[in-house]
Amino acid sequence: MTAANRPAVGAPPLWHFPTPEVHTLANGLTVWSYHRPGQYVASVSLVLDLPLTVEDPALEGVASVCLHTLDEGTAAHPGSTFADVLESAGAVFGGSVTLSATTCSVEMPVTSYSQALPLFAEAVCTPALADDDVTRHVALRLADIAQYRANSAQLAGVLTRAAVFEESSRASRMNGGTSASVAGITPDAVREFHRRWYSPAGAVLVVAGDFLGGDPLPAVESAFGGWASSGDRPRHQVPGAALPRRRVIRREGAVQTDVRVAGYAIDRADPRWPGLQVASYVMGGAFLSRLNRVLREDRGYTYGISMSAHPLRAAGYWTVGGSFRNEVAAAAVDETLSLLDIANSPFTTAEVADAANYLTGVAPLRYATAQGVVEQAAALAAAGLGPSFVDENLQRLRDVTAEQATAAYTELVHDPVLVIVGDPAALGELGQGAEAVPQL
Amino acid sequence: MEPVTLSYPIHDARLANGLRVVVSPDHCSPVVAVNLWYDVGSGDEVPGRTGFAHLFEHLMFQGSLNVASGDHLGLLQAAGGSVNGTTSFDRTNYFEAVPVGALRLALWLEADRLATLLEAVDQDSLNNQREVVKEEKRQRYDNVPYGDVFEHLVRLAFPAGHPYGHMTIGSMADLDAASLDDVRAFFTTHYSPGRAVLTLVGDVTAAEGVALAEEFFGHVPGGSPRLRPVVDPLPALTGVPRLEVTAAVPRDGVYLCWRVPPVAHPDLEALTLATSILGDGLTSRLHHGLVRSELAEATGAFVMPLMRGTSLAVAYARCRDGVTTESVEEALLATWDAFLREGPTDAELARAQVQSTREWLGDLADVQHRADAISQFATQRDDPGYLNRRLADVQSLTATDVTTAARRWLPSDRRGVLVYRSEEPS
Repeated sequence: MTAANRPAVGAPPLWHFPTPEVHTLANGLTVWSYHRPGQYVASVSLVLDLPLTVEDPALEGVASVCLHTLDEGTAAHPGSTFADVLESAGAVFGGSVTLSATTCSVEMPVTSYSQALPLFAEAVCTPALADDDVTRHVALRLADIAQYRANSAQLAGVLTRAAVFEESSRASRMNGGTSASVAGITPDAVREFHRRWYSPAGAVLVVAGDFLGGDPLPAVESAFGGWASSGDRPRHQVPGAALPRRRVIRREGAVQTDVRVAGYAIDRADPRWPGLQVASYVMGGAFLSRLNRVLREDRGYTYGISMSAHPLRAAGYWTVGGSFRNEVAAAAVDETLSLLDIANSPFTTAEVADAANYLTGVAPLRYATAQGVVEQAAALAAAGLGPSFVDENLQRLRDVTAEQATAAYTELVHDPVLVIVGDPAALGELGQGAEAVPQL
Repeated sequence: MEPVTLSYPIHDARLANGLRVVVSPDHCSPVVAVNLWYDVGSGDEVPGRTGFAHLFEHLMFQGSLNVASGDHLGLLQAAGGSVNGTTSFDRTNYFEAVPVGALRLALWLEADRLATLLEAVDQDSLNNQREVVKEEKRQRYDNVPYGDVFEHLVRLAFPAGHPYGHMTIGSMADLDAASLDDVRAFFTTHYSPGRAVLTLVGDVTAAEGVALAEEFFGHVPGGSPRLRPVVDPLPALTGVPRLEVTAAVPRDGVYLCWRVPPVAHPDLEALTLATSILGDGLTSRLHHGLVRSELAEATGAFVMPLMRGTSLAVAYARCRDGVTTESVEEALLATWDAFLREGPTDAELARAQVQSTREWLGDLADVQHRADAISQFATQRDDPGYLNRRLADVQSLTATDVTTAARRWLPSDRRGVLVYRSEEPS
């Protein structure tokens, strides 16, 4: 066995993201249904067209509190009797609030799909949102914010978005609201938010699993067909960019310094999106990326440094993140900024080919499970895109040239914001201008 | 409701050099998961060399005779593969899921490092990865609120010198002391075909999988077979040992721990159902007793299955602002004791069983986790096919089984207590 007889890699097989059966119910709800053989846990996500800009600015976080209180009881199953029946069906309820959508999710063994789906619909359409439960979830959200504030990496993440987007943009603040806004959320405000904004109009329900020969659609019709549309339709906001800035947050006694470098960027519909994906992977996505190869594998400064592009429904941002022991943090920041400048080192054809191979090659694995398919389809629905986007984007990734990747990167990655969270006493010049941990 | 009956194919073979090869074909997607379990973990470390099994895992990515440093990951990622390795108390696993066209490359890379690591590893790579691992320790434990909770629980539950008496990540001093001689000795002692299981799950037939294993691993010398040291079970904790720590965290917390039996012990699944009924989901007893009653922000309970004589069970609650640890511990114990006294209701047991079913089916839904489960059962039970039968075992447990196991292993006077206090009074 020698390096010379290292096996060659065979051509990747032709693979496509599954195509859903698409239906639209009379109330406007769109259904994307995926039959996935061998997937014995069904995954269901309902994506509500619900940008956070509809929240009352004084009550930001109301969307999040509403989502988290949905499964605390319904009209038909008050209080904890709802969780009793849902969990008895082997189901687990979840969800997330992003800037453009609230996504409610449920997973269950496929054998209990028809039992659990009507319960899921109850939580979404007719939740009790009782006073005690809302009040408790307000307190739990405040507790979460306190935990975020105490966690260096999470704090750095929150402050990075705050630094990238202008203050008037909802994107500059946490999706779940701030301690000041959450404290004002009342049960009435949550119930009113639900009444006004939870609606089948513009919503997409994604379902995937091995339905053992059955059709998942009749259960959807039966569970959601009677859900009436509310009148209000939301409008989405394009967040604005803030001016580049540097921010240092004091965390006394921290044994490591969290560093984030970031900037305003683009969404999936921008023609530069595949180029930015490839460029981010070359710079900081691969194990042997330009950043990780130097800062981890050569210098031993960090467990890992990464770059990623985060698309929003409109616009987006890119981030570079890593944690470094204090004594090398300043050197790590200098070296990171220097590596990020590619004026004299454009991306090469070989780098771009490896990136495209990775980004397209992992797709069959990433989307092999029902959960993987639903998560991706739901993310696309939340971005206002259709399920054919995955295949279209994979083809565009294969076609990206080194020049296109370099151009996309050069246009988007410059004049970054810099967020440092650490102990300024250990950081020398890098720690100058440190401020106390802000209220979140 | 009839549960799904699992019948994942299992082809179990052994090469002449002792390497166990398990192949489970699944042609749903054009990928193959490659999973290697080496029967060595931090429980095999000697005093003064803690953290070594994990540091060694890092060195396995630093090149071998025919592979440059970092290229194991680099080449497989460039082929569309997803790659990693992890170390725990009992085992070290290395895994990649690759498009079928890269399966030969993946096996060649795995075989090259098993056959020739010592011909490539050097002081530079040791120095570099030592720093990387120390950064990992800071990032995952030392610079994170509550990051040392598990370390304190381990110290409460296991005596110094016990295989589980120290953390897998190790201590900074021991990491600093690791030498190249230690690396060589560790590899020679613990890494050989006879102490590994290679599992392939995905778009490959059984015959192809075994033939590929033979082609790439057949020439690796066998080495000594595993003689697992017998570790006697520890007796239950007595006298309710307590540890109180103070740290820069937002809220106080209370953590309880118990010594419970090892993997494959007949009581262990029953205890897992007991901790699920107590600690999982909105229906759980601890959620009702602590979160709904406004005493705690979060609560839970779980069993951490381990191989050497004794596993660990944990229950915890993080206090709501202004609620004392004393009242939270009291409520935890009241809930716990009531469960031990009453046992589960039929509805609670059925719920825990169907939730366990969903979690298990979800674990097996992707080829990587399925391959890991097969390697696990081959190593721990000498029975890779157990993944098809585990659900039936869980379903067959009765309320009496759960109550009996909980009363035997989880009585509140056999607990250890960690009280974790916020530096700033709430």
